Amino acid sequence: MVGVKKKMVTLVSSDGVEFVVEKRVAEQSLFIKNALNEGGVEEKVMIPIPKVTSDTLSSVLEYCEKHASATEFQENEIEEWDKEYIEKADLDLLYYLLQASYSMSIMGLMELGAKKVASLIRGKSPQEIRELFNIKNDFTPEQEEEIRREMQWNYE
Amino acid sequence: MAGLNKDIITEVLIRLPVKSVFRFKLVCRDWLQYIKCPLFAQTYQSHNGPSTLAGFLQTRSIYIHFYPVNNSKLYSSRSMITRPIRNIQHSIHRIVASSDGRVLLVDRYNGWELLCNSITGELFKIPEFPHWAHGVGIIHQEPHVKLVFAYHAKGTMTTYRTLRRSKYIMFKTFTTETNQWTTMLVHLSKVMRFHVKEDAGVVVGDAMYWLARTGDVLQYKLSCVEEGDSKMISPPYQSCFNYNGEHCFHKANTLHCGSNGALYYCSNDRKEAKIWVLLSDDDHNMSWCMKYKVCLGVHGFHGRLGRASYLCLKQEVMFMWFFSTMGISWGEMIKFGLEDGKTEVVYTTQRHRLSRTSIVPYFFPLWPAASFVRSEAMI
Repeated sequence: MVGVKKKMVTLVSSDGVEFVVEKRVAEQSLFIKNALNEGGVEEKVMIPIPKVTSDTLSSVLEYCEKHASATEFQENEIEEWDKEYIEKADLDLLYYLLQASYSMSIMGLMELGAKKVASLIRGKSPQEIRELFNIKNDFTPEQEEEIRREMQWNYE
Repeated sequence: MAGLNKDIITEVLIRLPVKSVFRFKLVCRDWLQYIKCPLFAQTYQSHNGPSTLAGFLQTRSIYIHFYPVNNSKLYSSRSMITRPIRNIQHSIHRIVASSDGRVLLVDRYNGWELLCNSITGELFKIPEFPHWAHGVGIIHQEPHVKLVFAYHAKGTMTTYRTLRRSKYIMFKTFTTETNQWTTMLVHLSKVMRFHVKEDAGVVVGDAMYWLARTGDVLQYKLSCVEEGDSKMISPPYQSCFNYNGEHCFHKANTLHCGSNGALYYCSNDRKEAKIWVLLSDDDHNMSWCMKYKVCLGVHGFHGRLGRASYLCLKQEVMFMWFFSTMGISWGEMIKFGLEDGKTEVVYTTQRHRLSRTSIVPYFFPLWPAASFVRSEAMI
C-alpha cells in the first residue's frame, strides 16, 4: 500500500506519556473506537487513557498490535503468542492489564487475563487467595462459620 | 487485586470450577456478594453451559440421602446426606415434590412441610396444611416460594363417585410471601384424573403441568387468576384404555422440563419408550412432536420390568428408574444415551423394603448444588 498514509492516533497514558499508534491498532479497544467515531475524522487525534500508566499501556499496545494484524497469522500462531505474552506478565502487571482491558474494553485481553488469574487461583484456599491478592478478611468469625455451615454436606 | 471491580472478578470467577467458586465465598464480603448475586449464576451458566445434578432423594429417618446419577464414578456406595432436618422429631414420611433445592415433604405427624434449603435443612411449616392433594407443585418466585395444590373436584372431601365425574379442578395456592392460601375453581373440557399418589407437577416457563391417568396433560398458568386459564392437552398418541382408565399399551408416562425450556413427554410400552416435545405456534395452539424413539427390549433389564418413572433430557441423555416388587422392592436407575443408544446402570438400590422410605428423582440446579458436589458430576 505505497502512498496511502497510515492513519495515526496518539494515546496519552495517565502519567502523561504519549504513544503514537496506527488507528487500526488503537481500534482493538472498543473504548477508543467509540471515541474516534464520536470525534469524527480529524487528522490528528489525542486520546487520554485515564487510570492506565505508561508501563501498562505499552504492554496493552503490544497486544493490540499483534491482534490488529491477526489475519496475517495462522490461528495457532496467535494462540501461541497470547500464551507467551500472558505467561511473562507478573501478578502486578496482570492486575493492571485486567483493569486496563476493562476500562479500555479490549475483550480479548480481558479474557486472556481472566483465564490466567483463574488458573493461578484454582484449587487454592480462601486464605491463600487473600494473601495472594492482599485482600482483607472482613468477616466476623460467626459469619464465617455460617457460610461454612451452608456449604457443607456430609458424605456418607 | 483488592481494587478490582465486580465485573473483572466475575470474569475470573466464571472461569473456575464450581467447587472453587463456592470456596471463594469465604474470601471476603465483596466476593461473597458477587457470587451470591443471581446474575452471577446466570453469567456462569451462559459461559459454562447449563449444568444440573441429576439423582434422586431417599428419606431415611430424619435424613434425606441424595444419590447422584450423572456420573457413574460417583454413585458407588456413596451418597450425600443432608444434615438432620431441624425441628423434625419424627421420621419423614415421604417426599412429595422437589424443585431447585426445595423439597416438599410430609412429616408423619405434622403434615406438609416445605424444606426451603436442602443444604442447611431450613424448614418451613405450612400453616393449615391440607390433608391431601392430587397434584402438588413448587414454583419459585424469588425470594418466595409458591405452592400449588390441585384437587379433582370441588371441596377437599369428595366421594369417589363425584370425583370420577367432575370436570372441575380446584387449585389451592400458598405463597410464603403472604403466608396465606387462596382457592380457585376451574372448569375443564374433560375429566381430569390424577394418579393415585400425590403427583408432582412440572414447571416449564410460566406454566405447571400434571399428567392425568388418561395420558392427558393438565396445564396451569402461573399467572392464572381466572377461570379458563387452565386447560387439558391431549396425549401425543392415539390412546386406548382399559376399564380402570389405565393405558393399555403405553404407560408410565412422565413429564419433564428439558434443559431447553420445553416440556417433554415420555411413555413406554415395555419394548420402547417414546419421547415427545410440546410445541406451541404463534396462535398458542399446542402440538406434540415426536423427538426420540428408544428401544428398550434389547437391553435385558433385570427380572420384571417395572416402569420408567422418570426421564431427563440433558445433553441427549435419558435417565430411567425401574423397579420391581416381589416382596422386596428394589430398583435401578439406568442412563440411556439417546444418540448412541448405549445404556448404563448408574445406581441399584439395596434390596430392602422401601415402605418406610421414598425415592424421588431430583434435579439440583447448579446453585446451590455446587456447594457440595464435585464439579465433574455436573452435566
